[in-house]
Amino acid sequence: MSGATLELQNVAKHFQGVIAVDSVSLVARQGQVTGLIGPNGSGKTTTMNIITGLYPADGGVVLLDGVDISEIQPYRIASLGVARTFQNIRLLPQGSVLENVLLGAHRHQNANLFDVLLRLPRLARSENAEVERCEQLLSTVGISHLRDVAVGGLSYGDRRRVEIARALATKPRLLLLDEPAAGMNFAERVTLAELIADIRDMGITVMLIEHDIEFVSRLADHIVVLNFGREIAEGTPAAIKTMPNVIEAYLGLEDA
Amino acid sequence: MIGLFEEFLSSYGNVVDLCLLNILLAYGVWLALSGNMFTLGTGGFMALGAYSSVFFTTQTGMPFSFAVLIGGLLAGGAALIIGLPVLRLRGDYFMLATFAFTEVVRVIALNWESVTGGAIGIVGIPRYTETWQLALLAIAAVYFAYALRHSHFGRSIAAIRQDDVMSQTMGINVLAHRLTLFGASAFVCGIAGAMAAHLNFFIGPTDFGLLRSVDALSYPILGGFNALLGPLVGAIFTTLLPEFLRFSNQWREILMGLLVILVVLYLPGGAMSLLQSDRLARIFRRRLIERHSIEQRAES
Repeated sequence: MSGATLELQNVAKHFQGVIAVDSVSLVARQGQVTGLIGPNGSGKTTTMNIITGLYPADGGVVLLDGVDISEIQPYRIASLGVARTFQNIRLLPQGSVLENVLLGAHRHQNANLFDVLLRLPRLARSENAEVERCEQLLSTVGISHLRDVAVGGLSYGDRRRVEIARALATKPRLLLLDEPAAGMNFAERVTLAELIADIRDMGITVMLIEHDIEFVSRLADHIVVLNFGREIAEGTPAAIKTMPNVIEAYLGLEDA
Repeated sequence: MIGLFEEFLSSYGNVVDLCLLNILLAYGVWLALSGNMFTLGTGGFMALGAYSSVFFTTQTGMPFSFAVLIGGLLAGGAALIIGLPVLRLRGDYFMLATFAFTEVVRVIALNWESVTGGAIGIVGIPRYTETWQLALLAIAAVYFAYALRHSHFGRSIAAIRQDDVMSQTMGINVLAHRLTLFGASAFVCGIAGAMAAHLNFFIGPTDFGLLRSVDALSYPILGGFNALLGPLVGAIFTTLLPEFLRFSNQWREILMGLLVILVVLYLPGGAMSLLQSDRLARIFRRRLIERHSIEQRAES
């Protein structure tokens, strides 16, 4: 599969007078890892919710491979190849790891309601094919051994992996990761970084929201910095770190 | 043996019919509940199925099976029409809207005298409904519920019930799923209404009111809607209990009300959750993990 290019032009979102995203323009290029960083409340997650259609934008356009998706419903955006994970992990705690990942495969099931209700052979064929594909994804993210374990009892890091596997099960062209490294220890972060690099090598465009500038710098080809709902800087990781306004946003002005 | 069975049916036939009918109804309501829709429209959908099927069998001489099917389709169609605006409502508001629908149907039944017989209702309906037909429908309902649960649709519906925002981002069309469930629920309730009408010789506007809707809602909740047989257990239990409490009409309703409160408070998963208690599940899971680690050690 080949990745998609995402472009945001002057995207805005207000919540009853509170400006969450003022005006954001950015490009996530095909097959690259784009980092989206910024302090708390700078509008990173709101931007992601606009891209995936959960929030309608108040202004601006979102283009996926040049097609405007800003007025499209979330499930249709997902079927165009946009997948995501959530900052506050959203899994079904009682379900097993495999069941959770299979949820992402829903739209690739060939069996229709008729096949399901009469239990025709196509149901088993479709289900077996998707189970096999999801099992491969479990091994991609390194949690094959947890296949039948209920998600509720897993560690934080493993639950994040389940979410990534579930997002990959939708066969995305663009994968949005919302603070995937939050709450992880050093060793977990290293394996996560390897996993994200693997995903990029599959050809999937990755957009990585992060708090931790060091973690993004190791992975991203390109970084966009948000503050107060606007992009204040963009460029390569090395260039970003020396920009005065980025340092100011992160560390604060000395004399202020 | 067969003699005994016939003897049993002749003395308890009514109760058996009622149990089977309520099982059908329970799975109808379960369909809506599984999509997080606490519907009070059951009475209204039953009334649509009942009145329309009686009209077709008595006024046009249509075969019974066709009339029942049309009754179900009419109810399902009505659900699809009211579903589009109503499904945007959440929780209490959805309940109120479906309750309003049941009331509207009741008021129409009360006033459209040429078709529904008004307050007096329709008397002398031929008794076409047979026990085996009800049994067949009940078995079909359990089977379809089983098939649905053990498929990707079942998984998606469970996901929608727990987190519809996340489900949308997985490419699941939440509104279409819920609308289909609501329509299917009404279809089953319409069929149950048509079967009920041809069982009792008589239907009137009071047969399909709020009480009927609440009763039907209590079947899967009492039995447990997470278990395949939960609605069945709830329906049988709720139908049989009043038979044992025949000695006092007042006590019957008080006890039923008390029971619903107790189950909701102390057994939110319904009666069937007693069988699949958390402790059992935990032990089972620990076994699975152990087996995995053993397998892994064997591999390495």
